[in-house]
Formats: sequence, structure tokens, C-alpha cells
Amino acid sequence: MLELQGICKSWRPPRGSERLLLKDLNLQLPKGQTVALLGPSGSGKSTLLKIIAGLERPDAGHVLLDGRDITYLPPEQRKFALMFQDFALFPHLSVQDNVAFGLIEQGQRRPAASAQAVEMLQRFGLGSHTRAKVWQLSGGEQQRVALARALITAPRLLLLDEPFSALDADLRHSLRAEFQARIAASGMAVLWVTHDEAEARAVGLHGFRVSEGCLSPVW
Amino acid sequence: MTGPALRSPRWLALAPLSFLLLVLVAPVLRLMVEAWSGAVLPSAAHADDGLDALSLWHPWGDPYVRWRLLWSALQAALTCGLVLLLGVPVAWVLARFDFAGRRWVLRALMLPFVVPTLVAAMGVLALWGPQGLWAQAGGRSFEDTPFLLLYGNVFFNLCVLVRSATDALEQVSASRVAAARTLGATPWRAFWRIEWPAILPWLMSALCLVFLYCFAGFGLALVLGGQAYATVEVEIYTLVAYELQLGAAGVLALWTIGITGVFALLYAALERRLATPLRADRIPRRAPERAAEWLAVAGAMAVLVLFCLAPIAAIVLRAALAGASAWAVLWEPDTLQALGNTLRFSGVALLLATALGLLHALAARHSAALRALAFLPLVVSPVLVAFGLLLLYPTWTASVPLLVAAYALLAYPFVAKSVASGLDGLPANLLAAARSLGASPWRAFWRVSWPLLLPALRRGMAFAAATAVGEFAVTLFLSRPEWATLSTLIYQHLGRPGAAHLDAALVLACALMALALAVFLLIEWPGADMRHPEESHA
Amino acid sequence: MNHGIFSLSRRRIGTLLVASTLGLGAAAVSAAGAAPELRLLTHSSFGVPKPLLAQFEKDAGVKLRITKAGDAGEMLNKLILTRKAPIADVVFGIDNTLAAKALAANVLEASSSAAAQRPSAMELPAPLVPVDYGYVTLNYDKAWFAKRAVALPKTLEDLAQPKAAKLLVVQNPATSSTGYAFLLATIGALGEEKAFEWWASMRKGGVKVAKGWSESYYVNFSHAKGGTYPLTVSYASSPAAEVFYSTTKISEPPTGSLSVPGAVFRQVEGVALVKGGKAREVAEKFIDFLRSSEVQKQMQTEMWMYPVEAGVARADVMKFAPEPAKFDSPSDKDIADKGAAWVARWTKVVLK
Repeated sequence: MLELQGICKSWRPPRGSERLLLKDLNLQLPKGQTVALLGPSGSGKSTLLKIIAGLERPDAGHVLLDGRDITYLPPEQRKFALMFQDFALFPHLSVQDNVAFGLIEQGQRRPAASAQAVEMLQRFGLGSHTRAKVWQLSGGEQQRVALARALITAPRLLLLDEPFSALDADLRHSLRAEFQARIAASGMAVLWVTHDEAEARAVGLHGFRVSEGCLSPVW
Repeated sequence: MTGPALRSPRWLALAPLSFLLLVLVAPVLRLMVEAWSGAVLPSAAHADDGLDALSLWHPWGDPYVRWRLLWSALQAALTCGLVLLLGVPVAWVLARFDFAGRRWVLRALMLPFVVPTLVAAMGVLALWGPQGLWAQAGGRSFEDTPFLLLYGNVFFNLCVLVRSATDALEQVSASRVAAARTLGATPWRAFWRIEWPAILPWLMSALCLVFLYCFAGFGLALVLGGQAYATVEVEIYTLVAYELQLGAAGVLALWTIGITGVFALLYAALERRLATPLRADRIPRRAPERAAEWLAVAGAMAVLVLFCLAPIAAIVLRAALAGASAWAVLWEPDTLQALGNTLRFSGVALLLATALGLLHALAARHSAALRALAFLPLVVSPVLVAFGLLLLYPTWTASVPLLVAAYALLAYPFVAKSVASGLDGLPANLLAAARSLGASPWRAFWRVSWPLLLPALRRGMAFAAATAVGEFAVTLFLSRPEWATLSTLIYQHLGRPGAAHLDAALVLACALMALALAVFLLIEWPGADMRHPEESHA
Repeated sequence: MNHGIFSLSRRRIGTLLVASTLGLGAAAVSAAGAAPELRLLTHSSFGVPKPLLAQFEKDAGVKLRITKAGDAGEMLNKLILTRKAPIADVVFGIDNTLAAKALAANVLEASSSAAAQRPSAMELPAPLVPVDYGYVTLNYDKAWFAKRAVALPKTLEDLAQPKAAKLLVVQNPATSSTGYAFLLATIGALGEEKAFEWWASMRKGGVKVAKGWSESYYVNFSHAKGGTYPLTVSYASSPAAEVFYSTTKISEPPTGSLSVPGAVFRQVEGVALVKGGKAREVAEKFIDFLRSSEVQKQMQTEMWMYPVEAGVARADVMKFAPEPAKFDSPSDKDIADKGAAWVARWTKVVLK
């Protein structure tokens, strides 16, 4: 179970004064549950995700995983997969290599990792695109590849940062259903950040709103 | 904003900064200490016009030196303007259109960097001089006018801007331009409102480099423009090398560093602010279709030929006409030894410059001050560095490590600048994704950043190689005859009278240019650009 | 697998690294020879045939390490700058214009070699040992003058006429020892005040100033097919060199040297021990070597200077370079006291 205790973070822009982004935030995310985070842009949702992923450090507060303090643990050791609005697929690698990336980092040999990646892509229905370049795929396909890349490493926690903002409405709908199914099948905890309330209500068992740096439960 | 996990560790700056300290800062400081302790010559500072030559304000009190400083700044600024005016349209053509020989044009553009000053002067005068083609066609001679000097500056510096601008234009987002067009903008307005702001950081970086080169350079400009249009660098050189008036030279150098340093800092600060990450949807190149487009290509090529390639062609032509006996100089043992030396020294210097430039760019990603420091080797007068090295490390005089270090010093700003631009263009999320997938900082760099940085690195290396192979300031450093490079060999030939020597110098210059082209080809081997592998053809 | 490009570059960088380390290693190995070293500091025009140098190394049992330090003036300055930790044991190339500066800076030492004791036709202030001499004088482009049937200037006054002044290219005495020598000749002939008046009228007439000999000879001199100036300051031996280094067989030099009174300077070059240098005995042997008849003979066609040693045969080609009968120079004391001031004044009169 992931727990956030008293997370505070300020933003120090090059010009202008410091702004308090996150004020004394507390959150609990039990295993296997999906929690949605709502809020307008600039409200600090992405920063919160980065803190959880280990890409940023909070000014104060702790991040605990199953009771263990992981606030200062480097991101590569946390096994929290992060997904982005712009998919963040590696342009110099093929689809297959993208998906196999995390497996190789976990120490698997290339042939085995590639084979696993191909199998994963087939399960996603992208078996015909394994050797393609990422920019040859449509937006929806790219985000699915990103999900495959994240899920194949069997992460403890999946962090989604507005995953469908760059896609059109129909696609959003169908992809959301697919993602939910796959996530449920894997049984991991998910933190889903979005600005679309309907989407948040559809995916999140619990929903919180981030505003003025504070977290307020919605449902 | 990037969190601490995504920042490059600060200790990366240790190697390049120590290098700068040892090879640049310490020697110059040592020289200045020598100067102000007054111990150099019994009659050191001869007071001119009653002013104390060592006072800080002396340069501004002496009208001659004042004119030199102002003229240096003026001609540098004029060159920047010219290069911008000529270079951006040419770069636009090279970035948007695809045509046979495009890649070779980009490579040939860098030849002016490689050609020794005297040879280049001969080439330029063969076109524009009193006995040149233009004069024979009825035009007037440009010799000894500021125009020829500006032409000489443009000859050397156009490539810097064109290559930077070409890179920049290749990064512009196609969808943004398309959006602008659908919103009613004409192609020109779309360029002006979308493309121009996007390429501004690259252009400024290039212009800063051009300004520094023109302000502090004194090779070709001096020969072409005559003594009346010499830059302040000539003064510093004369004061140090010929009169050993280190104090007065130091004062002038301080002002030079001050003026150029301001520019470097300004540029560094602005570049950091304006940098935008790479968009995945770039505008693809296509073959020109309409007549107007072909005309644009022809026009761009004409500009390049006129300003950069014609003098080189003149040199090659004269060498070709020199006869077989002149070309036999290529097989002489002296030449072969010089060739070997050029390859050895330039090769090692290139590697050193690449390593230092890479580290510097990584460390300077979030620091404007560090970015500006990368320009330090170009801001400090090379004659001060040469004499300072002599004073500080007398036992290392004319030794290979020092020579290679000197080459690397002058070459590494290019790598640093190019890699910094490349780093600015990397989308931050890629690194974050790699880290969250389990890659340690080093692995994330090696597997994600490095392959995407390679094109920028290669471009920087090409310029660094051109600097190392060419003769920039090479005559200032002590050398042994057995370490003569092709450039020093050319100067040796031009140090003696005789038609055979002139022909030999021209032939060797052609060999030097051919070598440089081969090096450029090797560094930027045509192949897939990893960020845009859809364009795998030349 | 599309790691093609960057693995290729990794491999290429690898080979470059190996190749360059081998190259550097070879240099290091060759430098770390067992034989003791003799360090010679000289200017960039130094030229003694390699076989002779190799013979000297063998005879003296020493490795000769030559450092070329640019123009003679630059070389002396570098020597002065490093006097606390000298970078050479013996220095060649200090001539009579620089001798005073070298003595004042106290960087030279007297030699007790045989050559130093021998009298020679030319004199240099001790401890410099004269080795060769030459003449800085005007050279003219024969073809240019023949085509236009213009008379050659015979006196300095002729040169000062506007239509003659604009035909001449000189070197900046601040950056060129050749130019400095020429300036001294004019001062020696006319006296300081009249000389600078002459220079002022030359400036008005449109004399061209170049940075150094190479620039003036190859970029501005009309003989080199690039420039427009048919008159230049060069050496009396340059026409002989033109014959020697011509690409086709010619029997007459295409340029000639003019002996205009007041425009000829005799330059005597010498060698000396460096104060604080090592390898004293071998250095003395080197001084003898430079004055040996073989070196003196071959020096003529390598450095294009006349030998100082009596009884050395003149090279055949030097018949095209007759020694001027007259030359001018201020006294050595004046050069020592006022040399720098003259250069500064020249800059003011001609350039500023």
C-alpha cells in the first residue's frame, strides 16, 4: 500500500516569487485499487506523480510503501511505472524494443526480453507492428504500446498522467475500457490523473480533487 | 521543471573546468602576474601621449586603440548581420528541400575553416583582388577596403550560421506551421510568426560564435583588409609577441574579455530560456517542384558559391594548373610526415575535445554561467594563452600533450555548444520514462539520451575537427620540425621565395581540404538520424 | 536491431582511440631516447640539411631537439620570458637588430668554442657568434616594369614620389624582422627626423603595409600573380631563390634586387649559448658545427644567407644574388636605446 504523509512542495520559478504547490498532502492508496486525481492544470497533479515516482523530492513529508519510507529511493528501484500524455516512447527504438526496455533493465537477456515483448504486443493486438517505428503508429496505438511497456515490467504501482488528453473522444472511450480491463487483470494499484471528471468517475474507485495544494476527497 | 533525479550530477563539470583552469586560466594569470610585477624588461612600459600604458583606462584614452576596439566590435556586428541575412534563407532551402548533392554542400561549407589564412587570402584575391576575375571583368578592385574584410569574415563564418540554422529549421513542428497556415497565414507570415521564434535560440548561439570569431580573429581579415582595419587582437598580438609589453597587452585583453564575455553570458542566459524540446513531427524535406522553388535552390547555391566556395575553387584551380612536378610534393617524406602528424594530433585532440565538450554540455544544462564558460577559449586571446603556457609549463614546451591540449582547447567549444543544443531538444519525459522503467541514471543516459544526442554530437565534432585540422592559432605554439602538420608545412613553403614553393603550398592546401572532407564524411557518416529515421537517404 | 548507427560509431571511436594511443605512444617512445639531448631554439626559417644534422648527432653522440619559435623577434621574446627556466641550451637566429635586446635581458652566455675565437668577416656583439649574413633590400618584378616601361627608382627621394610610393609594399616593423631591418636602413641613411618625414610622404603616396614577409611576398607582390605591387622589401638572395625554386628551367631570375641607397640593410645572424642551459660542451660543438665549411656552404641554398666563414665556396645559383656594395644602419648603441621608440613612432606616422 502506498501512503503519502504531509507532502509539501513549492515551485521556485526563475523570476517571481515562490509558489506553494502542494500543502501537507496526505493520501492512501491500497493495493489493487484505482484512485483518480482531478484538478485543473497547474494544480500540481503532475508534480505529485513525479514525487511518487521518485523523479522529484518533496520539500517535506514522506512517501511510504508498505510501511517502508521510500522518499529518497531512486526511481529505478521503486518499480512504479509512469505513463505520459505524450506517450514518451523512445523514437530511436522499434515498438518491440520499446516494450522490452524495462525487461532489459531488470537484467533479462535481449532475445528473451524481445520474445516476451512480442508476446505482450500480440496480446494487445499490435502483433503486426512489432518492428515498426513508434512514429508510424497512431496516437491510440502509441499509448497502448506505452501501456504494454509499463505493464510488462510487472510494476507495483501504475501512475498515469493524463494518458488520453492527446487523443480524440471516441478513442478515449474505447481505450479507457481496454486499459481498465488490463489493469484489473494485473491487479495492481493505479493512480490516475486527469482533468476529465467523467473519465475520473469511470475509472476511480475513489476520487480526489487537487486544488490550492490540498487534496479533498470527492467520492 | 526537472527534479533532482533528472539533473546531471554537478561533478560532471569537474573535468572540463579543471581543463580550462590548467590550460587557459592559470597560464594567462601567470602571464599577468609576470606583467604586473614589472620584471619582464627593464624598459617595459613606454608611455605614449603621457598616459600610463598600464592603467586600466589607457585603451580608451589612446585614440588608436579606441578605434581598434570599436572597429573590432563594429565589423563583428556587421558580419553577424550579413551572415544572418545571407545564411537564414540558404539554411531554409537546405532544410526544406531535397536535391542531389545536398549533403556534400553541407560538408563543403566547412572547408573555409580548414584553409590556411594565407592560402584563403590568395583565393579571395584571385577573385576580388586587383588582378582577380572581377577586376578583369571590369569591376573595381576591393583590395584594402572594409568590404573585402567583411567578405573574408563572411567566408569563414557563414557555415557556422547555416549549419546551426539548418539544424534549427529541422526541429520546427510541422503541425504548428500547418495550424498557422489554416488560420490564414501566408507562407511568409507562417515563417515569421512560427518558424523564426522557434529557431531563434540556435541562431543566437551561432551568432554569438560568429561575433566572437570576428571580434577576436585576425587572420584573414588582417591580410585582406590591410592594417587600417586590423582588429584589437592584432594589437594584443603585437604587444605580447613582438614587444613583450605584457602589462599593456593584459589591459587590452581584459577589455576584450569583458566585451566578449558580456555577449557570451547574454547568449547563454537567453538560450536557456528559449530552448524548447524536440517535437516529433518535423517538416519533411521534399524535392522542389515548382519553378519558384528551383529558383530558390539555385539562388541559395549561388550565395554559397559566391561567398564560401568560389575562393576555394580558385585555389584548387591554381593548384591543378601547377603541373605534375608540383603535385609530386605530396609524396615527399616531409609531406607524409606532416600528414601523419595532422592525423595524429587532430585525432587525439578531437577525442579530447569531444569528451570535454560532452561533459561540459551535460553539466551546463541548467546553468547559464557554465554555458557561457564554454566560450572562454574563444574569448581569451590565443597569444596570451600561448605565452602563458610557455611561462607556466616551461618543461612541457613543444611537447605533444601540450600541443594536443592547445588544439583541444580551441576545438571543444563547438562540441559543447552543439551538444547543449541537442540536450535542450530532448523531451524530458523520455528520461523520466526510462528511469521509471528501471534504468539507473547512467543506463538511462546510455540507452536513451546518447543515441538521440548523436546527431548533435557529430555536428559539433565536425566543426571541432575542422578547427583541429585547420591552422587556427597553430603558429603561436612552439613546435618541433618533426611535428610539423600540413598547416605548418604550408607556412614553411610560403616562408621562402620561389614558384615551386608557391605551387607546393597550393597543392598541400588542396590535400588539406581533401583530408578535411574525408574526416567530415567519417564523422557524419550518412545514415539514419535516430530521431527521424524516416529519412535515411542523403 | 537498429543500434546500427551508434554501434558503428562506437566501433569507429574505438579504432580512433586505439590508433591515436598508438601514435602518441610512438611519439613518447621516440622522445624518451637514451641519448642526451641538445635543445636548440631557432626561428621558423632555420634550415640545415637533415643529413648534416644527422651526422652531427652521430659525431657528438647527442639527440638534437629543435624548437621553432616563429619570427626572430618572437623567438627572442619567448627566450626572455622563460629565462628563469630556459627552454633551450643554444639559440640560433638572433641578429644585429635584436642583439642589444638580448644582451640587455641577459639571456646569453659566452662560448669558448673554436669558432667563437675565430675572426670572421662580420661582427656581432659578444657573446653572439656570427653564422651567416644577408641583405634586406628592395626587390622588383621585372616583367611588370618591362611591360610598362617605367623607370626603376634610384634613390629614396624617387621612391617618395606618389607614383612610386604606391608601387611599394613594406612589412610592419612591429611584426616583422624584415620590416624592422628596412626601417633601420632608412634611419641609418637619412637620420631619424628626415627618415620619418620620408615615411610620412610614403604614407601619403600610398605605400602598402603587410604583416610579414610571407604576406607581402605571396599576397601583395605582383610576381606572385595575386598582388599589384611590383616593388617589395625582401632579401638580396630572393632572386637567386626564385631561380633555384622555379618550376621550369630559367636562366634569369624573374625578379631583381635593387640597391637603392638608404634601402639596404645588412643582417648578421648569430648563435649563442643560453644562460642557464645545460649540455654546455655539446652546445659548443654545435656552434663549431654551424661554422663548419660544409654547413656554411649548404646554408646558402637552405636559408638563402651568405656564409660568414672565409674561404667557403659560393653556391652557383648565388651569382644571381650579388651582394650590395653599400648598406646603411644606425649605430648599435642607437638601435639598443631607441629601437622600440622608433617602431612606436613608425606606427604613429604610417598607421595611425
